[in-house]
Amino acid sequence: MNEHRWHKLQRVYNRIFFSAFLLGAAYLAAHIYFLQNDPQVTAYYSKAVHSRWEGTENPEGRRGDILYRDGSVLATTRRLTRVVLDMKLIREGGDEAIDGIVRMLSEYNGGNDLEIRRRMLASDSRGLEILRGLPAASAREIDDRSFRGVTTLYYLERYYPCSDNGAPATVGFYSSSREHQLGLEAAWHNELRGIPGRREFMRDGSQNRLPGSMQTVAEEVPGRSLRTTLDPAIQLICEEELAAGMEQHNPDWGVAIVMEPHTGQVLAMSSAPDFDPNNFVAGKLFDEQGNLIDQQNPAVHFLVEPGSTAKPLLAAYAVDRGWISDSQRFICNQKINIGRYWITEAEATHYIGDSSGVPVADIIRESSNVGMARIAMKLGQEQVLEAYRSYGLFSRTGVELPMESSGRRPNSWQDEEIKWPTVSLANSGFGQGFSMTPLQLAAAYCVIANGGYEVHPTLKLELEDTAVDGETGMLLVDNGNERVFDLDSGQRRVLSEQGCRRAQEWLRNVVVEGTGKKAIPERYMKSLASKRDLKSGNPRFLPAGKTGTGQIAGKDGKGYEEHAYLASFAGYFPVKDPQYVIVVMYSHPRRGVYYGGSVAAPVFSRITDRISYLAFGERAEVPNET
Amino acid sequence: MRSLSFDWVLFLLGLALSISGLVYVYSATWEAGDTPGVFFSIVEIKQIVWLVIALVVHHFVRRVNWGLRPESWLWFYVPVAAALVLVLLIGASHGMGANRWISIGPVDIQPSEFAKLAFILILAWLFSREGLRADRAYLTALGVLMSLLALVLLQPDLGTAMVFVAVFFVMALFTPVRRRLILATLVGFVLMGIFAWQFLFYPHQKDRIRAFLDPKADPQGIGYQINQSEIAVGSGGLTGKGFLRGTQTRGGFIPVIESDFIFALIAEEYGFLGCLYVLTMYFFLIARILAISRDVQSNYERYICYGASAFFFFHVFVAAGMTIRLTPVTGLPLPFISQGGSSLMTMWLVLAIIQSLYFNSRRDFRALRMRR
Repeated sequence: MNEHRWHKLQRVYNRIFFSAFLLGAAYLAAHIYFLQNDPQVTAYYSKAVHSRWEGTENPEGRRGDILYRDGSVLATTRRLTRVVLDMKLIREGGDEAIDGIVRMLSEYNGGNDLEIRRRMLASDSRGLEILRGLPAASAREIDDRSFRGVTTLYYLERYYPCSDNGAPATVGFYSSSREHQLGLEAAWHNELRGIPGRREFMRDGSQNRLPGSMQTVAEEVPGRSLRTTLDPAIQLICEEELAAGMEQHNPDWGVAIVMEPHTGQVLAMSSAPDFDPNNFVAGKLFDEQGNLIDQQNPAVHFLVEPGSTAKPLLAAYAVDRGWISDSQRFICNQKINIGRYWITEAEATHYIGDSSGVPVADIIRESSNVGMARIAMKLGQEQVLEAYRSYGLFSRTGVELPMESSGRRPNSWQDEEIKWPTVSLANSGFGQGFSMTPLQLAAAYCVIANGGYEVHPTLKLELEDTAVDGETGMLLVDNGNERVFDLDSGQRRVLSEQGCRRAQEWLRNVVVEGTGKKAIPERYMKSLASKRDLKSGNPRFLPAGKTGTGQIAGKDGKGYEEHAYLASFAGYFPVKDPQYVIVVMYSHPRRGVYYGGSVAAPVFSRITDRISYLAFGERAEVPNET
Repeated sequence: MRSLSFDWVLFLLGLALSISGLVYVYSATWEAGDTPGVFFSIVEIKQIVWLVIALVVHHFVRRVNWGLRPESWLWFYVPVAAALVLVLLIGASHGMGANRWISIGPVDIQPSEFAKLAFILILAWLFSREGLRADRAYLTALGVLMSLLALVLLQPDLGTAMVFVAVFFVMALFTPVRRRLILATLVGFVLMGIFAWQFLFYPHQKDRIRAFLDPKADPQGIGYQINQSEIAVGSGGLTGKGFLRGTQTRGGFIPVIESDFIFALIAEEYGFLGCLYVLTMYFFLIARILAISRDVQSNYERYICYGASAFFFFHVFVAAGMTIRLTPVTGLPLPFISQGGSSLMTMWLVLAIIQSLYFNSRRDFRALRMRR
């Protein structure tokens, strides 16, 4: 290329070069111009600036406690800390920083430094939660050491100090995922839950909060505390004795309920098998075999055919209404034939009375199925239904627990108006062919115990505002043994006073003379004047009640399971001026004995015995004959 | 009267940009809450020291006659390649995820910055070969490019690699290299780029390119830097928020604000007028180098000027453009302004070489004047 041509070309190149740079510069400048000089765009970015600087946090409001009636704690909320690592900052510090942090954190991890190191090295995200559940003091220690990239954060966690002895199925549990909740925690969630607060602050690009910029828009509000009617001592007694019975008879499940008969306050409600609600908080919903742990509460969720415990309810109501007479006698054969069905006594040898028949009192005392079947058939469908309904069966009791069952009346799958087959009617006389929850049974026995008034079982004593500092005042009001029983409060009368006393007399005789002798507590036996006469003891220690050995309905909905029985005992205590209604129930006991009188009554007796000491101590010498 | 031995315009443009840079770096590293008065950070003091050293070096280097084409291009290639290999062996990462620095006591040197200058000189040397040897020289240049690219990408430093490629193509286009060869090279690079994307790029490099293509996809992660710097630029407005008043700068929202993203600081604190000032200065700087290129005596010198222009332009365009989502985030310094000693030194070395070429081109005029 000659010099002249190149010189000309070079001028052209220079111009191209120059124009290209000019164009590029203009393009760049134009971009910046449009970004910076449009008021709308500027406003948009000014807003963006604010949003970058503004931070909010919503501190959790403390969930209210669930308390026993004396104010001791069933469920509370713990303030714990977790340690979070900023792995980016830590990695900048190199291996020495990692070593130091591993050494420091292993002190709070039981010395498991390998685990901490492994998790730190395996982490591929910036934030890493390395430890949880540390007490506040440990968090302060860690903060004081001020390692770069190590932060401690507070969080709230539900805690059940009584674990599986604190009526777990009744109290339930709370986990932040609303799918798994149960019991009072679920039913009272809206009262218990705290309302989160809102704080606004300024923070820079490294998420450092600017000092003094914190503004509380809304203070977090702690939830209210629920004081339940549960009594810690009685609950513990029930848990222990129920568990002992479970051990002895190996049933499917068991339940024990203690109620105050006048107010319907539930003093204890325990079920077995039970669970530790703290496991659910920790997210363990499955047992070792991988099955979902049963979270039902037998007292309100399970339907049982009560068997003989229903007999006094029907008989007392029928006599009280004058549908049958107190002195009327019914012939109790060993079995009677209804169509193609046979109704038999519990045992073939069981035969009471003679051809002249037996009175109602004896039918109850000896728990005669045939006698009750005859009574039911004499009453007819309408009256049987009315009798049971008036005790509150077949409708929900309204206790403050979620998903309560209402029970099933006889032939409930058919229309209410339809006429029952005779065998259904006969069965309903001795508590088969319809079902109820254990709590409904307890509530029905409250009617007999309290002088004839309908009760509505309740678990709520009161709702208390929790102090802001998270401490609940102990024992604000002592409602322990105070009975609020006001005749004018509109409680519906189910039985007349006289009819009620008659029923109480029957039930007392069941215990001292009939099938329920094993329900008598040790203390009463010790107070006996003569070992031969069970009636001669201190009535203050004597319970009254009724055994029940119900057949368990088949799982396919037809007939009954073979050799599977519901052993139950429902009663109250003391016979005079009853203060405790107790229902004990075991489903399908497997160790040979299955009668309510042999399985449930002894448990009832031990519970009664222990409660008698709890309630009266040694000062109970009231030789007052009923 | 214009000096015939020293181009004051070029020098003053560089000095003005450098001093402006000191102001910007001061602002970027100023810590609120410290002493209310003047606060010089370590970074700022280092930068001042580097500028003084750079000016002294400039003063002496411009006296060397850079217009003389050395016997072999290896004089430029060997030391730089050696330094780049050394970085790979003993380099320090400073927590940035790439080994780019050689630490000598308190001083960190980034050889890839000096490599850019050497690369310009090598290309000028090779492209100024004439006749039959021109084609072979082009292939040699391609080989040099590939070797340097490999060394730089191993660090990995995508920005410097992009500078090499850009400078190579611009210089090739404005020299009498056969266009067919350039086209073939271009096709080769596209194929290689596809190959590299599939097999060689690190995930964070891919992320950057993806973030450039679609920054809204992940505002907290990949596109975070771009979003933050765009907010800073956009909230600057016409006149900016004022010296030390940039909220986004102050708040530490933008990473490496004092080096790679310093244009965002200029835009936020000084607004559009500040940006215009900086860009105008660069524009005049490049225009001045091109003007000098018209008077130089040899193709070798001319190509150096072309290379230097392309070099400055590409740096400015990418370093400014990436703060407003115009170019990918690659970590290139804004010439004379961004914090970083090696970069500042390289820029002033380029100016010194251009000054030397200017000095040569005016030899005849000077002789004329002296005769008078």
